[in-house]
Amino acid sequence: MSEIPNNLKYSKDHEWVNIEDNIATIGITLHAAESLGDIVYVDVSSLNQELKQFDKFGEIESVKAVSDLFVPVSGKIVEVNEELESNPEYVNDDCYEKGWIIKVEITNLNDLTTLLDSSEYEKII
Amino acid sequence: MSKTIFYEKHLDNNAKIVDFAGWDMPINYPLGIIKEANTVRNSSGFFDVSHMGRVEIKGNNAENFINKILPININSLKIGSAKYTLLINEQKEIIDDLIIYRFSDYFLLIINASNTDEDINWMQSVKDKEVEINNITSETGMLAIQGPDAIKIFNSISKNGIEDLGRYKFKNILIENNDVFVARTGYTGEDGVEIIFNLEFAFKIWELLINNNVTPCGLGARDLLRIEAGLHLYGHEITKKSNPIDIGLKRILESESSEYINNNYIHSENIRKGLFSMTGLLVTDRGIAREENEIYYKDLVIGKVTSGTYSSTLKSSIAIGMIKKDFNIINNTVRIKVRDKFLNATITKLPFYKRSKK
Repeated sequence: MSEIPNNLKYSKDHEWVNIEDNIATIGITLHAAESLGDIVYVDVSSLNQELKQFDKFGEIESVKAVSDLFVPVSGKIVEVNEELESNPEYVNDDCYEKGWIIKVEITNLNDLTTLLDSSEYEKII
Repeated sequence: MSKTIFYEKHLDNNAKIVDFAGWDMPINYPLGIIKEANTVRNSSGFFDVSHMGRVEIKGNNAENFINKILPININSLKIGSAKYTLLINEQKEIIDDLIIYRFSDYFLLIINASNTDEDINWMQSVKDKEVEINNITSETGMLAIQGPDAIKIFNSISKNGIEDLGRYKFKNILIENNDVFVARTGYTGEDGVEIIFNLEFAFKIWELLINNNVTPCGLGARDLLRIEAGLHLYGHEITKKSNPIDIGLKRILESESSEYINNNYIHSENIRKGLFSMTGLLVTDRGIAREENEIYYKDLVIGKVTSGTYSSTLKSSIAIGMIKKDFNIINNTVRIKVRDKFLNATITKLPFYKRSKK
């Protein structure tokens, strides 16, 4: 059983979103981290860029697989978790806290309505 | 799907199960591939390798038969010793790589799970009636216990049963009145043993290892460790079409016997003119090079990756590749095409990892 905090929003691509004012903190869910296995690289290619909802913003790679990362809300990527460059295992060990990946300045709050809440996300995994 | 005797143990230990050559096998336990690999490098771990084929070659003509089908110098294979070798058919296709063990009056071959049926069918087709081939895979279990502490721990479990056992030697010992085959071999670059036992003893030996703090590890860690150790995996570094010299195995083509079916081939000019060679690639950019990724020197494709992983020992992405011989120059920089980007890599001598001998 994967832990799914109920204060977060989720995308079908297994990203989580935490909203504070107009800033969305984004990471991948425990379910995603467990499916990937040991993560060794988290690469965000689009710092300071304006992205549309569900655009690719980077890649996450484990010993066995690589996966694209998609931004669950439109906006500008204003911060990247630099700790992950030397400690990518934070995503496996603590995906909802130390393992956050980017912060996005939200441009369209309506995007949030298309995301899932914890009980909806639980049904798709 | 086939299951080993340990399948329930894997489930009990929350392993992630994958299909490996038609077997339900653990790729990793909750500890994860990297920590499992580190445990084997730093202390000790054990692997269920019961899926590997175990075949006895018996009968009056067993020795002649081995001489006929394997490129080994049979006189240098003493009773109680093992050798790594290749099974090459009449079409010069490598159908497997294997380890042969010599008993006083028969031989044991440990072969790849993925090739077990093909190997046995081919051997049946070239044997005479004085040779008996017994597949004992399903009647036995097999574990590999590996790591710097593995010998010490297994010696204690076996009440000093392997005190005098040298590398690539084997013996049969009794553990709690069960007959156990113990070989000082492995596939991780660490010291250790591989053991074979009757099914009735399987859960007991699992328990003894757990109680001695040996960590169960999955096939993911095993693959990572063998890549670090520069060891071949059939289907990756070795294929039917491989030239044994290209893949760095000239040293094992030792037979001088005219009885060997490929005697002419292994001593021919032709085999010495391989175009490719196997090499290590230390990836200096972020990202893992995967099997089949093309390797470039400037704008020229010079080869392909055969295996790639993240080395937790070197803290770097590493790969093994087959490249055109003329380009295999140590310390040269090449580029590996991974999806839509290029990763720089340095040509490196294999292995990436060599244990320090005590």
